[in-house]
Amino acid sequence: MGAPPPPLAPALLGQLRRLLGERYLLDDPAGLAAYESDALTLFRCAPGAVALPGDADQLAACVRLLHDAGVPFAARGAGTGLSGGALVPAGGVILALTRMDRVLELNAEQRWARIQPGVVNAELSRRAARHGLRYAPDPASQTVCTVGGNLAENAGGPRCFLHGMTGQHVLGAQVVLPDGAVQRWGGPVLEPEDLDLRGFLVGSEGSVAIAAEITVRLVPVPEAVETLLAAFDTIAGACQAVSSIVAAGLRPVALEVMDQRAIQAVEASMYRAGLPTDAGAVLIVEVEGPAARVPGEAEEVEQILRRHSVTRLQRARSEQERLAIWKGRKGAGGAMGQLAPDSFVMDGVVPRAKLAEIMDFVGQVERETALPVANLFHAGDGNIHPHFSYDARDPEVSQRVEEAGAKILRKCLELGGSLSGEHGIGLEKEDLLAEQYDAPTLALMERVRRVFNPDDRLNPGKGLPLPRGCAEAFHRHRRYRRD
Amino acid sequence: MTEPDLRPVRSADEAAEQIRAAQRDGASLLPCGRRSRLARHGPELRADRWLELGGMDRLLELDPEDQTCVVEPGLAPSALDRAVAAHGLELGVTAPGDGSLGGLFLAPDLSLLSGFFGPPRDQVLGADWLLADGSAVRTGARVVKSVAGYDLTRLFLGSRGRLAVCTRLVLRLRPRPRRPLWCHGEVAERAALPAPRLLFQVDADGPAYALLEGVEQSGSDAWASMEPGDGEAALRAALDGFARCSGRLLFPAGAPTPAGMTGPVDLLGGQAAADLPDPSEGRGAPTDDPLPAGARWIPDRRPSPWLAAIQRACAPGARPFGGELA
Repeated sequence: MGAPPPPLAPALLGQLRRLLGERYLLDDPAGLAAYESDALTLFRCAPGAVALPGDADQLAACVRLLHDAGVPFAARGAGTGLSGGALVPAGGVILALTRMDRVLELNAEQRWARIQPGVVNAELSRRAARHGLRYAPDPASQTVCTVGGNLAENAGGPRCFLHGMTGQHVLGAQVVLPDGAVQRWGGPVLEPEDLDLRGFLVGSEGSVAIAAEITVRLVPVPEAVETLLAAFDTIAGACQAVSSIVAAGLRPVALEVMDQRAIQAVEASMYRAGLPTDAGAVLIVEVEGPAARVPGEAEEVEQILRRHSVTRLQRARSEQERLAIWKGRKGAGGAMGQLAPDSFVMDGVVPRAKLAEIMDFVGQVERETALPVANLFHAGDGNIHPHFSYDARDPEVSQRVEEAGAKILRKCLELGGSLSGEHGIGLEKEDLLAEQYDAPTLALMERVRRVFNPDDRLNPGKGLPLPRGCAEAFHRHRRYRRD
Repeated sequence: MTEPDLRPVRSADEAAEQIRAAQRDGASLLPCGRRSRLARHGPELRADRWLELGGMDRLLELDPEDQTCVVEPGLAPSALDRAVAAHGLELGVTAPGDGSLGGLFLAPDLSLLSGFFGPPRDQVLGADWLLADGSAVRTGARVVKSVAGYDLTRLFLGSRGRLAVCTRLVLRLRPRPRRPLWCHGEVAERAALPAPRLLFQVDADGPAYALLEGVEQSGSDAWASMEPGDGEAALRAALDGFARCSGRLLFPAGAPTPAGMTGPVDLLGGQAAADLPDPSEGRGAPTDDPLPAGARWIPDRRPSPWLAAIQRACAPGARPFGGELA
């Protein structure tokens, strides 16, 4: 591995400190510890410093200083990412954007908001609610995660079955390029420019440019919402019901499945939602829209569910009941996180028709590896999230978890799917990406990345596999790991 | 130099051959489908040769259960619509005119349904491409959700053929709306309407407006109104109806749309927005309009300052599609 990286130059730290103020430049070990990983703890690496800019100008000034000093850096939101995307190599600088949390402009009539990247996802919806609007993408971590992080990863969530991913809701961004130059890509109108740089930016895992301001679409709060909870003996039963609902031409806003292990974890936690712990799986179906239409659609969903082997069917009778169901679903990740010191939440996609097959395979991997797996997934999108609870202090177990994850992802590809539906590639899946795309396509991605990030100083080594045979670079990748 | 073979291509291999031939001959080349949009794409689109993809018009795969399909770029949207309608599905894109699907997605047109489903390219899950050196790449995925790797699909779509030539598209389909396309009836309470004001001019033979705050029409049967409670479903149905008329869509100054588009924006070029009555008059000044008065998107679209660098990255050393920019 070689010698540890040189510490950051005192002169650079001094410049950053003068720019931001003493409080907003962290370089003490205790302060840095919180930034050594995101929510995927398989990868850890403490940065050399953390800078917390307060606005776009400070952010651009930080980037210029780091660029001039040749120091690698990465932007970070709330650190809820699940692919190791917001880490820098030792000696690099994290630009933590959590202070940039202001809604700068909210145009209720035209239904968009211009915000800073550190605005928390759910807070944006809360602010928009007084205008009868909301921000549609709803990752499970929405009470904490930032829209800037959502943009970097093209985050999804249960509602994206109807509303689409973050990419469908970002209209534009003011970006800071890796050399500190500032540009505006897109804006409050759809398709305002020659090239869709806005579309390319979303999901580029913070390696093309940093969004210093984001303009997002807001959508009306639906007039009516109905939520149904159906219990099944098996996951396969729940998957068949999902297929029938979709085949009927219904467009629910969410179709979410949790397996027994996930249900039991929730019911044993503070997120307790009254889910049936003896069920093999539960399916949550939510329908939203005009008040004149929604009850009929919910009725239709109910009829379809009754034709399947439901063991229990509940239609939320009040907002309170509805929120309890979602508290259980959205708290499932946290509940499962309490089962063991470490969690590994996977993310893969298969065609919807292959859901039952991939879940069978996950069960097989669980039996083969003797690693307990809980499952919760966005069934409408074919987006699975097997959740391993383990103890990362045991390197052998960590290794088995990683291998089991890779096995499941390879199966997703074999079934015609994708390595990631919403968490991104980050550090976690770089090596697997070459199994989804052929070498010319990956080389093309790398060349386009270099157009924007020529020195690979912005979030280096993330999102794309490192060139084969480049031993030094591969070692750099390994350096992120805890061992 | 042998005479180039410029017949419309029937396969990706034939297209790659024409691309390589153009490179050999030092000729600039641009792809086109059925040429229905070329006139609107701005003066910077010039080429010595056109690569005609209109003959690549097969529906390659249709998976009704997964609600996806794979098509060649020359397929007409109307032909796809007929094929998927049998399964109760639709594309979720309704643009005036027909042309080819490749043209629809590669051009930056907005669909009349953009307010609901986003711009047309949001329906594209993945694609096959030929780069300017004739090499092939595949972007995106076959599933409705994928964030693996850079989103080159989006970058290439909307580049109007200047970055890569599309030879295959994977598209997301949607359940076809079950409600009737036309909604009649008086609006009882305007204030109850969740939908924004929209002005449509439809039917080239006789101007007609329908203001979705009720009905204002003349000289045409193209009109729509909404009932309180119908919400966006009714607006969507009305838009669908308008999309079936030949004509143009105009967003007057200050009139917002569901997606936050603002105007005046003339999607199809032609008559200046100022020539039409402004329905926002008397309703208060439009709010902070990011577009200058009278601005139009497409005719004023200037090449991105990033274009040349991205073209070089796509096919280093090759003459970019459309030739060097002036």
